[in-house]
Amino acid sequence: MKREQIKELAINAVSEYHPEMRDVEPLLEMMDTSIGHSSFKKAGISPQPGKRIWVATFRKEEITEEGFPIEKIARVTLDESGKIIKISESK
Amino acid sequence: MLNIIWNKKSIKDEFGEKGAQKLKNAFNSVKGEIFDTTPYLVSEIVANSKKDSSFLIIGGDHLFPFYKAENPTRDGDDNIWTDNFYASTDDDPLLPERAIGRLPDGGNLDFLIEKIHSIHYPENDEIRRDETFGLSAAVWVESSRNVYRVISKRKLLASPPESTHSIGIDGRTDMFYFNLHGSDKTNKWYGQGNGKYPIALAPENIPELGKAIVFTEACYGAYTIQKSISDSIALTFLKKGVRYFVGSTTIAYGPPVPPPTEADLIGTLFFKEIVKGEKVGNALLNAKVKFFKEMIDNQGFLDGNDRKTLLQFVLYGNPEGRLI
Repeated sequence: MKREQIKELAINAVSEYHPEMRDVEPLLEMMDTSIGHSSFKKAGISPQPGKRIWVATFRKEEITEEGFPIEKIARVTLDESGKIIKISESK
Repeated sequence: MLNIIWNKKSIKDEFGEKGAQKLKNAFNSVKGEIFDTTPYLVSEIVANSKKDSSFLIIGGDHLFPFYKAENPTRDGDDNIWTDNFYASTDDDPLLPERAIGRLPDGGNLDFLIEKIHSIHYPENDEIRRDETFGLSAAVWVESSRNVYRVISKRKLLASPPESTHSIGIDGRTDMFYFNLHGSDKTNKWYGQGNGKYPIALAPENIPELGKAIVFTEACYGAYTIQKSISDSIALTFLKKGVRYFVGSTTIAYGPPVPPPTEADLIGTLFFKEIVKGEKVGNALLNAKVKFFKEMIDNQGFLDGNDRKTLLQFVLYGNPEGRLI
């Protein structure tokens, strides 16, 4: 799937929960999820190969009641085919 | 077996020779082995320890620096401050292998000594589960209920409408759960709802407390670097009597709705261990291992947020304590 299509999917997904992010230009990255074997060993499970995923990061400044700026971040994780895996937001 | 980790030189540089001696004296009645060491040498001590050993770091970042892990998300945090590294037998900090906690100092030696004195006797580290308090940003109430119901049947408060002006915390509260916004620049946590971000919790809201436990999902909930006690909700909780505080040193993530992932998931797993009667340090350690397994089972991988979650949650308090 093309980068622009992935971006559109991510924008649509984030807009469902964060309509205020609709006009935010996301940072779109292709990432490899490989993790060192030692973590699998510590968890007592067989090592799994990494996958390639897309992550779109949306950042927007919000203002608290006291007038203090805090940054809201929303991240959309998608697989290579553009399937939405997860939507996350900063606390 | 509790192992206490400190660096005498950094304590001496900060509080003078007398201060270092006072602190050393405070260790006298703590049951455990004392190590005067540096961050570079802790792994060796851990590698030579038994699997059921636990570790307690003395002091905040300026006395015994957090390990700076690379941030796997591009979100504004340069690094992730973690203690996982000091609880690992190798140089991979993602998953710890031993229970670990830390006593931050807030730049105040008397406060640090007071916290050390509070761990002298095992019975002091046991807390009851009589009263609970849960407060969530209104937009996350559905997700937060899933976490809170592990420890309580009471109503979870939401902000808004609740705010620093309306909430009242009972001094008899033993367990706290917060799912609010936080910042590294203020000493307040914030709610969210109807496009507003009210102040939900400020240091002034925290009464004198007994031996309570706090779990917070707030961004920077456990960020104490260069903070005095009153500059930090985490340090204020500890000052007011809280024995165990678990929170994030950096920007934390969670889902907008259930099922629980990231901070919601680590909180759920932590509280499940706590109510089973597990020691607090083991509860966080087990929660991290279970988090890792669950994400591999359900998702097939850990993304940057998941890895950040594992690294950023730290325990302030004696890892040997437990809920009874």
